[in-house]
Amino acid sequence: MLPDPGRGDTGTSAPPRPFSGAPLLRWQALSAEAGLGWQREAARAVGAGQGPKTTLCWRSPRAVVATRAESRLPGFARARSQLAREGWPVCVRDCGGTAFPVGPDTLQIARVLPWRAGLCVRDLYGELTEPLLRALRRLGVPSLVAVVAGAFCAGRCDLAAGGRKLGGVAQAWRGSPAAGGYAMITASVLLAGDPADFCRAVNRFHRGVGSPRRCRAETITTVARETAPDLRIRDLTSAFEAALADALAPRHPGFARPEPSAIARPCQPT
Amino acid sequence: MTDIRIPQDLWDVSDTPEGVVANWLYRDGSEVPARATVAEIMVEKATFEIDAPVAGRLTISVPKDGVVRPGSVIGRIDAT
Repeated sequence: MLPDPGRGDTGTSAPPRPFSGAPLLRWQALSAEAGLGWQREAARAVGAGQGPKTTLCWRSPRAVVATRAESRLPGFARARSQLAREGWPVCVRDCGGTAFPVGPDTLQIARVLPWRAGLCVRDLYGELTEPLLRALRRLGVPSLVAVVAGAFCAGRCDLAAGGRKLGGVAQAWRGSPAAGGYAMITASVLLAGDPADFCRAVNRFHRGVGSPRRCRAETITTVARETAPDLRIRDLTSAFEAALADALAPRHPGFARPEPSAIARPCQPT
Repeated sequence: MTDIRIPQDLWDVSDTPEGVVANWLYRDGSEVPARATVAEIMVEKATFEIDAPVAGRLTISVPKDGVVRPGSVIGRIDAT
């Protein structure tokens, strides 16, 4: 399992491991700001032809992750300061959608591919939603891809269980097939946590930037709520990360599933 | 005048016919350098950047949140 960024484990504030360009499935725990930077660094390298497709997985202390469009709203600086004082630093991402929360019990996944002719938005979503659904089903969560109205960052390819959102996906494309570039898909999976707490933070952000958008806690669920609420979060997280590693392995030629102890070591690429 | 046009094959319209202008990164009337990213298009939570084809003064013709399709002209640049 990844080191636990919300409970004093190592790795929380460590800078991201430099991107070397090797074909990797990597796991790390760091701040949300550093995690987003890690994604950008990997994406730039893939776009420049310095690395093949790559998948990154990370968890962080809690934060609200906004879009670049939201960062240009008039109230953004004030909302950012206010939320930071309340323990929800605001970070800006490159992918689309609207603001969503991250925290110690949410898992962020980013998959980056070279932008080649013929690659389309729908196929790129499948690059992550299919392995994520396999991992969720292995844990006994009857999940599917669907839009969940009223959820934060709602989209057509949300991961849902029982009509409630437990994960979201978004993309960023840069460059072009002719000139070189990348296509990145990111996902955020809610492993555990309080949906009301998540929605309160996101709604405070929307109010702060002057957006009429609001989300409702009853539209959100977590993997823990859909499996065994009394299961220890660390056990659940470890089980999900192992299931996801298995589900992603076929997309990384030559990749072998790491031993559980390898995933458990802080900041170790596999 | 040089059009700022969304590339014809930027996304698959059979899957998602339309997108929106999520962001203009320069104000209307600004001077922009060649190849600077001037706009961001969002399609189904996927973002694409649009670059200035030449340097010059920017005229925005599709505002933020305006609906666009591949091939749409979203602005122009008067070369300086």
